[in-house]
Amino acid sequence: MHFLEAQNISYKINDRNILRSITFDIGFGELVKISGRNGSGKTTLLKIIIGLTKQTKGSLKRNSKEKICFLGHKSGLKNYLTVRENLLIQGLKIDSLNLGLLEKLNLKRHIDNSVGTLSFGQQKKLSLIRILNAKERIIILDEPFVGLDEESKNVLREFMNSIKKENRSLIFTSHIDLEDSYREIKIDE
Amino acid sequence: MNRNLLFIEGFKLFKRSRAWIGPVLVFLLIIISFPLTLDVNSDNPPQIYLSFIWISTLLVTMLGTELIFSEDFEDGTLEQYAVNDRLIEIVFYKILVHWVLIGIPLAFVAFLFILSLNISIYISSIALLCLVISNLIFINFFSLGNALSLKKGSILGLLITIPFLIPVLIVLGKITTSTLFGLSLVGYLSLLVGVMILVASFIPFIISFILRTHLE
Repeated sequence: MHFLEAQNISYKINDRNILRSITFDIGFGELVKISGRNGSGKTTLLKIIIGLTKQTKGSLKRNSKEKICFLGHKSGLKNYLTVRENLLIQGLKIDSLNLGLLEKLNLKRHIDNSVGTLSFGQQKKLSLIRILNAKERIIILDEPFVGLDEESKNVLREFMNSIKKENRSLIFTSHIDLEDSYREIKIDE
Repeated sequence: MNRNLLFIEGFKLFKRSRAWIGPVLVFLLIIISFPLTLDVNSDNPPQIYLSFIWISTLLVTMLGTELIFSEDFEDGTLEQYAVNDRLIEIVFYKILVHWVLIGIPLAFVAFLFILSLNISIYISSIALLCLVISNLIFINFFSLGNALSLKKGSILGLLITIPFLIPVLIVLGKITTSTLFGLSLVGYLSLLVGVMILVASFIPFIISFILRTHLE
C-alpha cells in the first residue's frame, strides 16, 4: 500500500513555476531519491510532502498517520550545548549504541565539547545520529550526504539499506549520483 | 503533559543562562537604582513603588522573551516539531519554562524589594500574587509579538502587543489602590486570574499558527 500519493503537484511563487505537474507514489520499504539541479524545487517538494508547504495545484494524499522523522538543511543543534547535551535534548541516551555511532563518525573525542566549536561536517554528522536512531517508519532527509566524509557516507548508506529491509521508507534529496539502489523522482523536466 | 519535552525546553533555557539571569539582573539594577532617584526625606506613597514595579516587570519580561522562538527557528528545531504537528506543545512548554525561570523569579525579587521599603507584608504578598499572575500574561503576549516578528526583528511585534497589556496594567493599578485603601480585591483578582486563564489557553494556539506560516 502507498502511504503517499501525489497527483500533478505544481508549485508557483511570484509567477515563477518551481514545480510542474509532478506525479508519484511512495510505499513502505522504498528508498526514494528526489533528484534535480540546484533550484529545481527538491526542497520545496520535500516541504510539500511533510506538509509545511501547500502545493498551488494538484493533490497530495497521505494514507498513513505514521510519524515522520525529518532532517532538513538546518541541523537543529544548539551551539551553546555540548555534543552530549545535544544528544540528550534530541531524546537520545548516551548508551553503547550511540557511543559506537560517535566512534564510527569520529565524534567521540568531542563528546564534551560545545557544538559551536565543531566544523560544518562534524555538525552534520552529529545531526545524523538522531536519524540513525529514528524509530519512525517514514524518514525524510534533505541533502543528507552534503558535508560528509566517505566513512560517514558509508554509515548512512548502511542505514539506508537497513531501512528497506525493515519495511520502512526513506525519501531524500540529492543532486549527486549514488551507487545504491533506489527509486528516483526526477524533477528537472 | 509530555515531561520529556518540558525537561528539554527547561534544560535549553537553563543552559542559556544569559537569557534568564540577564533579565533578573536588569530588573534588580532598575529597582535598586529607582529609590536613589527619589528624595529620601519625602514620604513617598507605596503606590509609586508598586506602579514602578508593574511597569519595570512588563519591560523586563519583554527583554526576557526576546529570543523565545528565534533560536529554534534559525536552527531548524521548529521545523522538526512542525512536521509532526507538535508546535502547540512546544509553544506551551516554552511559555511555561519562561514563566518559571523568568516570570516567577522576577515576582520574588519584586516582593523582596517591596518588603525592604517597609511596606506591609499583606501589600507585598498581594503584589507577589499579582506579579506571578500578570507575568504569565505578559510572557504570553510578548511571545505572540516575537512570533509575529520572527523574520523582521523583534521590535515591531512587541510594539503591536504592548497596547493589549495596558488593560492588565490598569487592573494592577486598581488592585494597588484597593489594597492600600482596604477595599475588596476579589473582583479585580478574579478578573486577573480569568484573563490569565484565557490568555494562557488561547495565545499558544495563535502562536503555533503564526510559527507554522513562518515555516512555509
